[in-house]
Amino acid sequence: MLVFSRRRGEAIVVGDGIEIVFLSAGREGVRIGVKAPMCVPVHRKEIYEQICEENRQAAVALLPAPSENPPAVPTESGQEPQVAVVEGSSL
Amino acid sequence: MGSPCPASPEDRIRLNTRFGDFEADSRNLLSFPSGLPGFEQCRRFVLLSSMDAAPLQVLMSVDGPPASFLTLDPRLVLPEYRCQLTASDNQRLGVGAGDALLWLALVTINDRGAAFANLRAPIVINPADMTGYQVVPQDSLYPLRHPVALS
Repeated sequence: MLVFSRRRGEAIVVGDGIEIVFLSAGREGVRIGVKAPMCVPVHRKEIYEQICEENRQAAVALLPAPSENPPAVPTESGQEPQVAVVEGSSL
Repeated sequence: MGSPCPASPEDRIRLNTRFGDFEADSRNLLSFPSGLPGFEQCRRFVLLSSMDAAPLQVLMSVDGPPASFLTLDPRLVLPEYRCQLTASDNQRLGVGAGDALLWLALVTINDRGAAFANLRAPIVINPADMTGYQVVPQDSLYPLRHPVALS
């Protein structure tokens, strides 16, 4: 990991157009500003990781195990899953 | 409904699932340029529905590690559900304010069979170009696990 010493108002530039500015420090922690192009997502790591973990919990296995050769499971209505129509609506 | 321009066979993708095998064509593929958090290699998905599973739909990855997610329209959980997209979100999706979008909440079912919808970080899809991603809001009124009654 690269480690920098920065004074208040000084910044670090990462890649194209990403700037991390050191704003202030106090007992509560440090305040950091991030300037990045709109297409670059910027997240607090703990929030992003919380969502990663929730997604892992939500993931279900739909694929059959490689050794398994399952017959198409007839569903209750006899209708197999279909590709859904993707349509939007205003929220 | 008949398709006016049938996809050529190379456009078709065979999906083997435990519900059986079926095919999707390239027009049904949803592109997730950043994948999903925790599943960053899953860049293409199809959305599957069946009468038995309604109102749940399955968002199934067709590349990257095999991963499928149960999803639900968040407004079926909370009719007043709203999620504010930032200018950056709109740019990533290539949409403007007021454009029609498809919203999906990922559903988790725990060991006891209780279901929860992730209302904090919904999936949003632009149906015009079939791209989507998962919104990771800095602040949200909604919980990661909102109880859902699935009959």
